[in-house]
Amino acid sequence: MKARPGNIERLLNGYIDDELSVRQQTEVKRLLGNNPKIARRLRQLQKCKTLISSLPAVEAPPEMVEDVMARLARRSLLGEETAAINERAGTRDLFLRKVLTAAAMIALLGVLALVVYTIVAPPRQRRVPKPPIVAGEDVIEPPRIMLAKFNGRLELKTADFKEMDAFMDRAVAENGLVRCTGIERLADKTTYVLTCGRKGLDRLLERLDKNWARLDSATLFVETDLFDRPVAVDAVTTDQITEITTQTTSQDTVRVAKDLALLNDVTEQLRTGAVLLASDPDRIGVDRPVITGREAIEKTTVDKPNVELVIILTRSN
Amino acid sequence: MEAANISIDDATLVEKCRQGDSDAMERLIIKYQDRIYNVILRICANNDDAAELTQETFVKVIENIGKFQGRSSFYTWAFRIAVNLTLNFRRRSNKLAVRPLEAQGKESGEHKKQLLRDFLRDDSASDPAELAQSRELCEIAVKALMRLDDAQRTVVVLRDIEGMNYAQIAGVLNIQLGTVRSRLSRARSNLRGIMEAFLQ
Repeated sequence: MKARPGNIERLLNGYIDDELSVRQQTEVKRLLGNNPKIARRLRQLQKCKTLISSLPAVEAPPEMVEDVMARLARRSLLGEETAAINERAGTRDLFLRKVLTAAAMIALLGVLALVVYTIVAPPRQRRVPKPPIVAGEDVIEPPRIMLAKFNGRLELKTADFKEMDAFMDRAVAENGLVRCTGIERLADKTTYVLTCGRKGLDRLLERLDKNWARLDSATLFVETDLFDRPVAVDAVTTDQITEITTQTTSQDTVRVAKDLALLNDVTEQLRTGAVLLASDPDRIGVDRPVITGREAIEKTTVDKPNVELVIILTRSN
Repeated sequence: MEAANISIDDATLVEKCRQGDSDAMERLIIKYQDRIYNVILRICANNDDAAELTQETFVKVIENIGKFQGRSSFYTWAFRIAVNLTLNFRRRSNKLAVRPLEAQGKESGEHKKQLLRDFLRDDSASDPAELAQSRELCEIAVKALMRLDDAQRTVVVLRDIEGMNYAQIAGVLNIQLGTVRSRLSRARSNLRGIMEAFLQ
């Protein structure tokens, strides 16, 4: 056994507390018998132990059991409330998470749809601004309109037969209509069988319009579906002829011809003082046709040789 | 202290407590309340704090009794809870006011000194029963005890008041047996020094 003071103190305390082995106890007894200082120290330590252990035991407060049980019950209740609160908070948290998840999914789907659209959709046509129209350049024209075939007969009477006949002859020649015009000449009657396009007809009418006043009468007979029942437009003008011959359907051609015939009849009656409202019930209440003019027709129609017009120039009595 | 005998009964009580038997809980409290209260009181030196800490000890014991795995005895486990609560409380509140032992009236102080001088005399007999009757010496003992630091005071209380052996102390404080020996040795040596200093 080492003789260090710390070790001796521990041995002495162990001896007091009966925490030594038999061999250690024997050793301590030997030391105590041989060393009065160690024996005195042992007594000092024993007195300390005796003093502390002699402190009277203090009883717990009498209400300890009740207090503990009450505290347990209170904590249990609080625990349940806390659990309930946590459950409610958990429900709210769960709902919030669901909403956020749904929003995130919607956003994700939106992004996905955008990506898919970008990949799948055809490239967008870039809108190119129209270049300014410069004079002399070709201009993209609007779609052309196919006009209805026209069959008719124009009967012109004039006292100046020879002059008008010569004028007609030049007009046909100057407008390049010789090849499409058959001419039959009699003493007081010349028949022009014209098979041409609208442009040719228009150019001819435009030319004839300059001497239209020299005619005593001008009647246009427009063929209809009914055999030998043409619509007769008396006092017809070159513009009216253009209007009639530039309809897109045969029905419109007949309708416009009837309207103009009525218009011209009324005009004639008003001029002579006797108003004839209507000789044909179909003519009542018909709007005045709108004359579009040759320039507009030229730009929008397809010029095919579908005009068959017989012009009969006769000498008036 | 007959810890082994306690353990036999403890096992039954613990099992009943685990099943929610409130009678077993009360019996367990009644069985240990005085001893735990006494240990706590000698460590913290305040009756109200000791009562509060004792209640808290039993609440924790019962609340956590399901976690008690029996690797140590219930007795050791319960006292570990009590001591830990008390030492933690002392660290937090720092309530221990170290008062000099001579903080009494002059006449009363001289009387106590004489009592202590007689007690510490080598040739004096030290009958514990007689000492317990001496309120003055008990007061000196308590105050000397409170002059120790918490660690030393705890081992002294567990050994000399609660009567635990070194192994039980090591189990309660979760320290080595050698640590218990050295700590207890220093504690008693310091106690002797404190009391002798009181006589100067």
